[in-house]
Amino acid sequence: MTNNERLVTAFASSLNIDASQVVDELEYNTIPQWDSVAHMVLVAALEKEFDVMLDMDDIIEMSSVKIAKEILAKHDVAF
Amino acid sequence: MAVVFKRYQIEFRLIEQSDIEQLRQWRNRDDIRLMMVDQSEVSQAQQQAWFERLDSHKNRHHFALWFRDQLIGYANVSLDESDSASTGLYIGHEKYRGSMLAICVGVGLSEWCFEQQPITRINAQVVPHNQAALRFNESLGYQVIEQNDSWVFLNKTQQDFEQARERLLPLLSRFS
Repeated sequence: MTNNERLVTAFASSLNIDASQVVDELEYNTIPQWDSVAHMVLVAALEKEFDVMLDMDDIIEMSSVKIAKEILAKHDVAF
Repeated sequence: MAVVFKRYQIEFRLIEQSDIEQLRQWRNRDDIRLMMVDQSEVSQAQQQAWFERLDSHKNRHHFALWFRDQLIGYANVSLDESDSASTGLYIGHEKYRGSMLAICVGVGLSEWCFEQQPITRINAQVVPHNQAALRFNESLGYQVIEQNDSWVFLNKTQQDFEQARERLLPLLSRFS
């Protein structure tokens, strides 16, 4: 499984949405499923999947799929 | 600026005159106003009158929420019953709407209530269609106790809250 596929799976299961909805343009708060509670679940899922620990700024700034990839890239996860 | 308390990087400050117009504009947004018990729009005059009465609200605490020197929202605690409190909050700042900062505020506010007030439970009420608020409150330990067509009533004991906070701590610790 590629890192992108792992990310899509983590997003889809955390937000309880279809994998086809997980595109770079998907932004926080633009769908009801991606709210503050789901965001916590998502952060935990991404940390577990990619074995990273995100800091406060990462958690706050992670406002889209695209930005999530950029943040994970800072932690040496290549997409 | 008088900081009453600070939790998880959120400052709970006394509300000042310079805060009230921004709070009013946020309060009047449909996505915030329509989730409140009083859903009417607030005029500048009403907001000013509310602000001038704040000191007389002996059983209520009103807070301006600040994060990194930016006003981001509002919270209150009402102590209308001897052994319980009810709380309300909104995050108005666009960047932080629905973010984890709402969780930080919710947990911080509950901690302060149970530590500083002689209460055994905290109550909340949510409009039934506000699934985000229901999920939010349940994540903070609230349990539904009653529901009708207009409102869902929830409450939590300190034990309920502490169990919920335990689950949140791995992420909340990043905001310490």
